[in-house]
Amino acid sequence: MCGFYFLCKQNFLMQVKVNEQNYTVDTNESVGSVRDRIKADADLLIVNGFPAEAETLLNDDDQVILIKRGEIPDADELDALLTARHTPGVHEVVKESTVGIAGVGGLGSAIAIALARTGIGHLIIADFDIVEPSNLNRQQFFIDQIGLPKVYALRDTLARINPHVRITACHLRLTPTNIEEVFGHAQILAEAFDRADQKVMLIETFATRLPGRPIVTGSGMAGYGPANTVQTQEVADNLYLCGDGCTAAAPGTGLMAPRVGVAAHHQANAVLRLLLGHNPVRSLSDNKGRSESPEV
Amino acid sequence: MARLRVIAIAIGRKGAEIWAKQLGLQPIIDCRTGSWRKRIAMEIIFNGKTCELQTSINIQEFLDQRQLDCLQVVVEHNRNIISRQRLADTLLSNGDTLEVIHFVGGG
Repeated sequence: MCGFYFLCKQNFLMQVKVNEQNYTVDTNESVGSVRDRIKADADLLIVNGFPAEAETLLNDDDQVILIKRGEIPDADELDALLTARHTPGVHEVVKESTVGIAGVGGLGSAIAIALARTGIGHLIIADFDIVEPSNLNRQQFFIDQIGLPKVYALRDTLARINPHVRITACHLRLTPTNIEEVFGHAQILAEAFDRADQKVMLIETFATRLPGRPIVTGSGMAGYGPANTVQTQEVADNLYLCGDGCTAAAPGTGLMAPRVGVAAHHQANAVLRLLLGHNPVRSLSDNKGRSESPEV
Repeated sequence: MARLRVIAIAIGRKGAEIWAKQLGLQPIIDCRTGSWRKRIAMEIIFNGKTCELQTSINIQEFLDQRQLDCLQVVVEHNRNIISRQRLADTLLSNGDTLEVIHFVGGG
């Protein structure tokens, strides 16, 4: 009986993925043992998206990532490693996606970084502005980028975060005549302008020239009022508004990193939800009606 | 309303104007299209709430009455976003839905 059990145990094998490659391992083999066979110098072991101890036993179909800290992996391995913490199924969708970002100031630069970290396949970023010292209180730029066009500075930063994201950087002023051309390939547009009239111009143009494509806009994120007043609302068909809807940038109510960041990440999350086929405002179990428009 | 229209067709625009004046209705002829502009109460849904209009007006006039700056608002008429160039050409009709979304600066 003992011998029969031993035989079964010896012959019973499992399929696991190690750094995105298929491997056959013994039943109940530990992740440490797999590490010793495949990548002995790895000092960070991740099983199904979570850090694991070397003694952790593996199960059939487990996904194992073995990392040596400080080592820069090759491109294919890097792609697998960058997505190791993603919910299964998310990366397959977002890596095929194209998102436009109009304006890369406080909102746009933070949206772009969040989406690049998420592994969006293609970002189209457009802005006419250059990096100035006054931008650094909230915008995702660095002192050594002062004087550079914002879109080129941001493109470099994004490449340092995730080199697999394709960036189309357009250093130009967006007008009703070029918006369709610049964002023609974008499935979703994130509006991230500063001036209210420019926000309106962009939304009107995009919605009428490229109808049916969602727009995620930002309005009302100045000052240091409660972060909880920043919300995502569905204000029209295919138009989602992130912000408190009323707090304008004005003397005495400046734009600051925390609240601008809250609004920008509302926008980035709304974009991600739309790409994955979810309503940005409601979860599937929530049957609330259309949210109310902000007061005008 | 339907009766007024029939009469307008039957006796011509000028005749209908005279007839309507006798009834104290003060008809207005749209100078761009030449069509009747109904001077009767109607209802639209404005930002989710019922709103009564005494005359048929275009969206630009509606925004002006409420002192809404068309440069700062996005207008959704019957679930379609319309550009500011078309605001003055688009007449509001009974039962229309109008969403006016106000934007503030900052980003």
